[in-house]
Amino acid sequence: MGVFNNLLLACLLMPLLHAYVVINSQDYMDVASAIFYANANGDVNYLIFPGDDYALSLMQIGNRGGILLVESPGKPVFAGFRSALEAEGNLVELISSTGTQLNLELARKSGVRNFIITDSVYGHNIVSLVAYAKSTHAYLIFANKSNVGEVASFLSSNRPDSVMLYGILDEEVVNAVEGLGVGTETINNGDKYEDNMEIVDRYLSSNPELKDVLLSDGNVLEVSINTGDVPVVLVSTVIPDSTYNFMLENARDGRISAATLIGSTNLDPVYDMTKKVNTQLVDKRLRVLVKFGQGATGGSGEVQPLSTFPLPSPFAAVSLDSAAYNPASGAFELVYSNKGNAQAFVKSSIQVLLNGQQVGTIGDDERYTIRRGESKGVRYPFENPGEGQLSINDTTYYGVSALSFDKAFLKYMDVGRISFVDQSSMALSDASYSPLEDKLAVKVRNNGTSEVFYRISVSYINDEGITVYDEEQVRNISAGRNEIVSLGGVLKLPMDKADKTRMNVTATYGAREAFLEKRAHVDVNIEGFPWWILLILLMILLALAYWYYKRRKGQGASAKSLQ
Amino acid sequence: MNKGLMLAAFAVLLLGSAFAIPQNSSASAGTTGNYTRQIAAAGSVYIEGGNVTETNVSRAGSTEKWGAFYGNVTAGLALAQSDTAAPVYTWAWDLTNGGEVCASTGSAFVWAAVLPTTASFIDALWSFVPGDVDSANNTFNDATANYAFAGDGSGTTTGVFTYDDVGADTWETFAVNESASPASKDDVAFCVNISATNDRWDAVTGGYQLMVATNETANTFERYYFYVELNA
Repeated sequence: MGVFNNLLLACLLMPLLHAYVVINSQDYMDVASAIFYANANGDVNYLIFPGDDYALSLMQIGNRGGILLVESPGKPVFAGFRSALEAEGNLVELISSTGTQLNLELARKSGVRNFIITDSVYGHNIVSLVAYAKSTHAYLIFANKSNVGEVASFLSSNRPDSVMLYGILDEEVVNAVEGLGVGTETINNGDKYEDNMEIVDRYLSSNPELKDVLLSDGNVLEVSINTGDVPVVLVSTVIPDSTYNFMLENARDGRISAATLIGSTNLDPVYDMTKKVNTQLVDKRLRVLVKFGQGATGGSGEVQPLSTFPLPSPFAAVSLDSAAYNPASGAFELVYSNKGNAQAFVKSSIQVLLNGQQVGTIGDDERYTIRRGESKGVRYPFENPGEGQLSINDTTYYGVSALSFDKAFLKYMDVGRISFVDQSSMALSDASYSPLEDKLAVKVRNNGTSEVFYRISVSYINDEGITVYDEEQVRNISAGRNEIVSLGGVLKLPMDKADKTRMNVTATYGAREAFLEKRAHVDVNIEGFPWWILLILLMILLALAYWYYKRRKGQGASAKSLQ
Repeated sequence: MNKGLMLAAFAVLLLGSAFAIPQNSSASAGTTGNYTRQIAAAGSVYIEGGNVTETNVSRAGSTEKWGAFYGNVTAGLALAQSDTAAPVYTWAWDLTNGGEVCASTGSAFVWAAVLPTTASFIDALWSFVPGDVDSANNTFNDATANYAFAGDGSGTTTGVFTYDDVGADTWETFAVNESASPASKDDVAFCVNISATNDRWDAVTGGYQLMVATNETANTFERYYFYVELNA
């Protein structure tokens, strides 16, 4: 019985015991989730880096009493580590989950009410956010269009105190979170350096006693970053002017006195930046150190490279897939696609050639975006190019930052003349929305004679303003066919707003996937609250109350008769 | 020059090694130390201090309380098309530019406020008995070791000279704190000035050589992180 009681006590106390989180996973999302979990709860995190030694890691952890072991079920660094930790005398609680599932599981377990949402593709966001999240007791949630439903559901049921949307996010995520009715703030300048400086600036403002920053390219996690005690300023092989100015101004104002570069990869630009900053400072100097290795005393060992954990980098891979001149529209129609893992910012300048001689230049005044996996058609008006062989010389710049391009391609292509008039026709009808189920259904009909491509957008307006949900997916429907499109768990219209809301569905469509230029529209019938359910419940309650009353009355009569 | 000039190739070579530091100890008979095994693992180094022998009372022994690191620092800043191309111009950074190499168990040592420390702090934090012949009290015997980090990070602190290849006091290790009252080992850093001319214990000229405190308890391990300030 004593043993049982002790076990019971241990089980009850387990959540209170561990202030030490051991992370045993090769999945960066698991690692980041556990680090943010530990930091938000004031726990110490111990990350087992790939390449670490089993016995030495075990010895360094030792007996910590209670340990939360976050371990990937499929890709741990070490197998059988739980039993090894228990053999050291630790009471181990194991969480064996991975990816976005683990991310939300730890969000629930943390009990925190402040959340930061970012896209996991942007690994540098993790590095930028560790210190800020720790100082605000916030947890990091990874969200994109594929798990937005689960994230929105979690946030909806946990009613957070604050939600920050950080960096470039899928529109579905932004719309879903903003539609929850909780206070959100956004840091998204379309550029990782600008976002980073904004978050570091916030950190320094709320922690004025700390005059240190770390410098990192954001491509890896390292123990000094993981502790979240010092914010990270992002640097790279070419340090942006804005980052240089940020360091200069903060050094001049006394907000930053020292910086530590993690690893020596970017030592040359940091050295250069430091020289430039210190040249500008009259009575102060920025102190910059390089954390270049690790080791231990005694014996004949050498100083080793720092242990690091790689993070994913976003990239865009834009290509020109097709080009044609459409006499019917009097324009060149070019189709670009982005096969990268992140949204691309794109801008093109295109020479138009007739029989090899340049006859004009077309292109973009502003950069535009192509989402990951998306094909996008761009139309450039050009009247009467003349008879003969048309060709184009396309110089396209692109990248993942809204402020600067880091990639470009040059493509020469002969261009055919294809007179195309989009004669597609599509109609929407019978749209209804159930707030209780958060489910929208709309009937789509292809009235034309050829296949139609379309993308659905839903918007509603009430006293909270306008909420828009743009579906990223491009659907298609064959000629003459009807189909019902159903959207669930994404619109998040509060039940009490249902009767004061106007909702409509719009489909942009066309005969070509990259040119969805036509529109179909329908108003949505929003179902009211099913009062009949309430009535039935009320009747059941009344029946139960009556039954209980009769029963008590019967028992009272029996008691009196016995007396 | 199809891609324009590129500022590159600031190649910094930071090499280092660790060894059990020989001390000019005058340990008396009966001074004991635990024999501890050495564990060297691929990819990282966690090695305990060397063992102390109590029999050879009159000669230098090896202590469990201290360890040392040494290495080279080289760098160069070049304007070149690529790392491998011939540079158009080179700004030479060499050892005469100075700077410090520091080692701390603190993974994120805060360098904004470098402050002097004392041997007593080191003894307390590493649980060394101050009366031991190889305690910090009896090792860091220069109370006016100079340190000069960039900015306002200069002053005097506790230090100890380590030897070159002929046993002459050459490299002064000095200890600094990141706060006025260090609460843990992570708040302390052991540093040495980079030198272009000093000979190291292995007769190599230039680089750095410094001494650090270690946990003398058997089967306990400490990881040190290394920092270098390149004067800019």
